[in-house]
Amino acid sequence: MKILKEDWEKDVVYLYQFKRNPYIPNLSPFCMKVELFLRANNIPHQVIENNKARSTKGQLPFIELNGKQIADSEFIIYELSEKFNIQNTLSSEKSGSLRALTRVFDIEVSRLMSYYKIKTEEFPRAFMSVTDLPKFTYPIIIPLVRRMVKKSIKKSGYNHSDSELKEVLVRDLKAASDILRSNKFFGGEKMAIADCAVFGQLASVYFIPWETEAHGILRTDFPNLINYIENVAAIYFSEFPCGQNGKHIIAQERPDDIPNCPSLESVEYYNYDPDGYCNC
Amino acid sequence: MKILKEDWEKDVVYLYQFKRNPYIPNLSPFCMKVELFLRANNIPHQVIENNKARSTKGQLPFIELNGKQIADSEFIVYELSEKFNIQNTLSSEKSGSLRAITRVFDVEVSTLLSYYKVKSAEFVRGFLPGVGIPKFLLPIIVPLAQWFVKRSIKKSGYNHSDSELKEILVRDLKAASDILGSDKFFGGEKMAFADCAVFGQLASVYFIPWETEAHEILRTDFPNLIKYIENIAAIYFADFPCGQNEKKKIEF
Repeated sequence: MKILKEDWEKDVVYLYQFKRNPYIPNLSPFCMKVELFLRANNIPHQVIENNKARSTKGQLPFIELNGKQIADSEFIIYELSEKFNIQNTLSSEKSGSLRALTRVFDIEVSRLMSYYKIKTEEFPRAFMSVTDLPKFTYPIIIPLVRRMVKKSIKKSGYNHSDSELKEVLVRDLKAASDILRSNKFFGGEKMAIADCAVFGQLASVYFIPWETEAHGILRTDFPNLINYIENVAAIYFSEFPCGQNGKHIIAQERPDDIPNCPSLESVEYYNYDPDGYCNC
Repeated sequence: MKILKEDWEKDVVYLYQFKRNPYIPNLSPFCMKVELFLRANNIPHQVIENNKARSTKGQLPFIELNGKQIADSEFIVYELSEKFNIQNTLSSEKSGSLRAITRVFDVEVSTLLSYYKVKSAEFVRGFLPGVGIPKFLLPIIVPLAQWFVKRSIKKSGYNHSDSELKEILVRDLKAASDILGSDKFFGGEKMAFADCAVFGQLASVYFIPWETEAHEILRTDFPNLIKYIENIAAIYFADFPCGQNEKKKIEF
């Protein structure tokens, strides 16, 4: 397995993930899960934006640590917890609930959210903001991607009607809401792995300005989960808009079509193409 | 959608599942999940053994109730809870934990245990006649089934090494074990959905006499889960061996 970062520093985690976008730390819920875990636990790390890199399992995110690649957020987090001696001080019943909730979000909620993301014609445009594809390809690429993702969700065991899929999602979100109750984090006063998993999935849809049915479900039935992710974003990802930019949709048009985005002035991490992105 | 049971009685659940086998209520964890739910909640029902029937979603189990089909154990148990007014008296935090562990068992543990079942050729050879495969076809079907199921597991997001798959399973079993604690049932004194889901998955492997690595994991790390399923089997499925026949390998 070839290590990409050859001049690595000892005990520094190199996190490979998709390029930054104008809205949230990463369009991938699993990239956000890992980055949040690193930040919440003060693990020395460096983010390397790379749309093309893939792990030995064919995925992003992956990390390199001390010359070794670790793939898949599940294994990344457990290995880092061990390596950096991150203690679990929760009761065993609480640990059990949080482990179960983490997997529900990693496996089921992720698929259901993906379904809602590609159901609308507009949300997939958010994904285009991190590619270098020219605009004329969107009418071809977007419907293709939507069809592929829908098909793979139906084939992975979710061959249900829209109302059935919604039932399943609502029950799973309710589980999260019930476990969180009025706590600050799922881990109580401290962030747990479940916080990273839940935040990743919910932020990857809610803070994106193009509406999906998932936005409606969260607003109507789970305002406490919205408060929760806004709180986590404010603490750990305050340099990203995460919904704070008044949901300006950053146009891919020529400059005269772009609305003002004053709140993005302070954000300097984008590799903006000045001809294609927000000019403010 | 064609109803199979035409002379149905009002408010009686007709449960379609794979034919009975010599060991456990059903070789399918989801069939056991539903049957256990019906028994635990005293819902009037009739089991209809049928290896060939499939729901509109292409699965077993499914039920027919008052002339309507309900498919998929997730929707079956929720609709029946509503229809038969089965109350959830647990705290919201406990309800949340149990909902989460139910889905982990339905979606992830089911896949991982399938992997261990299919890995053992002995298990597959014992299992297939129970779902209607004629014996003379076994030498061809067994390796085919192994290849096919293994491939579909790897493609469904579990493209991991054997030791990684084991790590995940152990963490999920530990979650169940931690949530159960020293309680009689996941639902405390009363059976909850989570009990049906967990029992279904674990019983579908543990009480079968053909060894798999999953048997080992349970014996070594989770003897409390073994006690748990033995207890439920004794209460709700006393009419089945469930491991009580000293692991005699009975031919179908």
